[in-house]
Amino acid sequence: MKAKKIFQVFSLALVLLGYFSEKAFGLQSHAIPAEGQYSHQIGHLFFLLSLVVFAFWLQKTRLVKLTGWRFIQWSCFLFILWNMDAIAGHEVELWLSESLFIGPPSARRLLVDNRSLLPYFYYFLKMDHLLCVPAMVLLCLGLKKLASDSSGESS
Amino acid sequence: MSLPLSLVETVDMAGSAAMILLSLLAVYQALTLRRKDPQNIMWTYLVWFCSGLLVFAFSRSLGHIVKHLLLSANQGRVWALIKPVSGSLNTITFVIAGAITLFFSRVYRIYQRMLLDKETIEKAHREIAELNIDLEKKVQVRTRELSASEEKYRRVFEKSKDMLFICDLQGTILDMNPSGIEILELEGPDDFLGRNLFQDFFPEVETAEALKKELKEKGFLKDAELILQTPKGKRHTVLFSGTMTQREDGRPVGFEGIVKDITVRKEMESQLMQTDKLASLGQLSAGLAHEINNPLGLVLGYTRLVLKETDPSAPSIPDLKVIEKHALNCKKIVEQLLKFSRATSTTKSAVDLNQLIREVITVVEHKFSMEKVRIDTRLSPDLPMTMADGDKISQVLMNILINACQAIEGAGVINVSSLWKREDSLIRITIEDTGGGIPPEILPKIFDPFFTTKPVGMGTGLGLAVSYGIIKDHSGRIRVESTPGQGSRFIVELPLIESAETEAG
Repeated sequence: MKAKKIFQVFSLALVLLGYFSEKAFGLQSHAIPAEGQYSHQIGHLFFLLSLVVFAFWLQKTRLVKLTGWRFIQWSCFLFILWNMDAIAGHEVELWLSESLFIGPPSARRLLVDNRSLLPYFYYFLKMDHLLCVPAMVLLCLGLKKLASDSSGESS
Repeated sequence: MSLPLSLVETVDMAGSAAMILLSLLAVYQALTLRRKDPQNIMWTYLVWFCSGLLVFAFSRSLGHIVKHLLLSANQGRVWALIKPVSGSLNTITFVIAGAITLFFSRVYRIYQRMLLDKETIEKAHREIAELNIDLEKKVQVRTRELSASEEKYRRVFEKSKDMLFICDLQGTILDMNPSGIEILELEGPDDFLGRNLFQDFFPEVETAEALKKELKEKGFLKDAELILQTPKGKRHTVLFSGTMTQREDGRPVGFEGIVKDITVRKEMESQLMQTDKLASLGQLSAGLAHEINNPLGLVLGYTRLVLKETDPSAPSIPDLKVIEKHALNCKKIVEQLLKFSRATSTTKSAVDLNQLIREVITVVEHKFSMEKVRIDTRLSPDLPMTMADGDKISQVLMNILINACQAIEGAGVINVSSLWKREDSLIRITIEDTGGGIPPEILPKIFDPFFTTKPVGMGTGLGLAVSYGIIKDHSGRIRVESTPGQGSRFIVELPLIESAETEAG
């Protein structure tokens, strides 16, 4: 009975809303290009925060006393840095003008001058693999160490 | 001034390839970890974490590689089409990888809980195992003690020379020791099963019922003297002690008890009493005979003197002859009494008892055959000579044979056998008839002087008494076994007394 009453009130509210509304769109438009950029940056931020939480828990649970988990924590730190690098890189890329990129596609160059450090900054930020590849290496080392420790325990 | 982007692109390409390879390696190592301990949720978490990174690395690195390849091939417009898709995929993979990463704390709590549970279970298991070991040890000790106790009581039960029994409330025997089986002459160790103590082994139903009733009422019975009868008909005099067994709630379940066979003791007591009685009678008889013998001799002497001096035609002669006849009868009785009391002299010489038996049989054989009584002999050929008074032993054999013949009504057989019992150094002569047997109530009296079952004037009742005296005078033994309706068996046992000549030879 109670559910029936709620349904009746809800239906009445919908009818009244339709009657008095001037416009009602079924779908919201996502045509703005910056929306993708924001989503991507938020994704990086989410990934970064989750890695911070992970590293924090590894510390709190004292798992880092074990070499394997310590490697994984260091891997987290590098991934956090990589995410920060990526976020910054994506932002800087937006601020740079297309005219700064010169030359044929096979030999492109970046114009720099002493008036702005932004192109330099972008140049180094673009080499983000120097952070994520070592992060993956540390992850692999950590896993390997955990595997060897696990073998030692079981034996 | 410009910076070459080729370095950035080279790092990007190489890094992308490295990311793909390293992410594959990470997944492989995580799987290796999980394979080692599939129950460990932390390893499962690492598999998922590495898988998230793998998806992310593939998505991003492939996107970068494709971008460089397309741009190098002047396909910037194609890349412009792919770029948003690649970027979106990258975003999704970050989120997936991040989401998986966020689960660590939850997974770790589960892991800790599992460890705690595992530890608790292991502790409980250890405690149970310890308790189990302790319990097993206790059970082993108790079992050993119980077994030893059981063995001890079983040994007492099995080895007891008295009959021990357990039966239910109706008297059905549940267990019985070997002595019981022997006393009751049962066929085998399980022959008692199904038999009823009160119904199958008591010759008198009334006695059994009274016994059962008393046991039920009093709860116990001590040293009751009873007669048990075996299935083969043999009777045993026993002392019966029993108790009624009860459950914890007081409900009776059956009886258990001990039965002591005192048959031999009773027989010995009976024989002792008989011996004492006969010895007393012997002394009495001897005294009496001596006292009567002298006046009797005077009566007989003077009667004969008067007879000699009186005219044969005198009217007093028949009276005197009657006096002489009865005086002679009295003298005969006195002589027999003296023989019974062993007051007469015995002349012993080396005697072949087999020969003696044959001679006596020769004397009575004809008369017996007239009465359709056959005499069968089974004489031991190795019977040794013994020192005895041949005439008196002949008299004993004659008395027993005549009694045996008189006990047989109509046709019958008398079996006479002799046996040399080397181990006991005695000679046994058995005379067995197929007559009507002797009733149990008169069996103890048959050797008493003047006891007879014959009509007045037919016997003096001194035959067996004299025989008893003669055998006793030879340091032997005479006894009778009889089953009414089946005949009697007289057993004469004489000790072997070797003569000086035989010993010297």
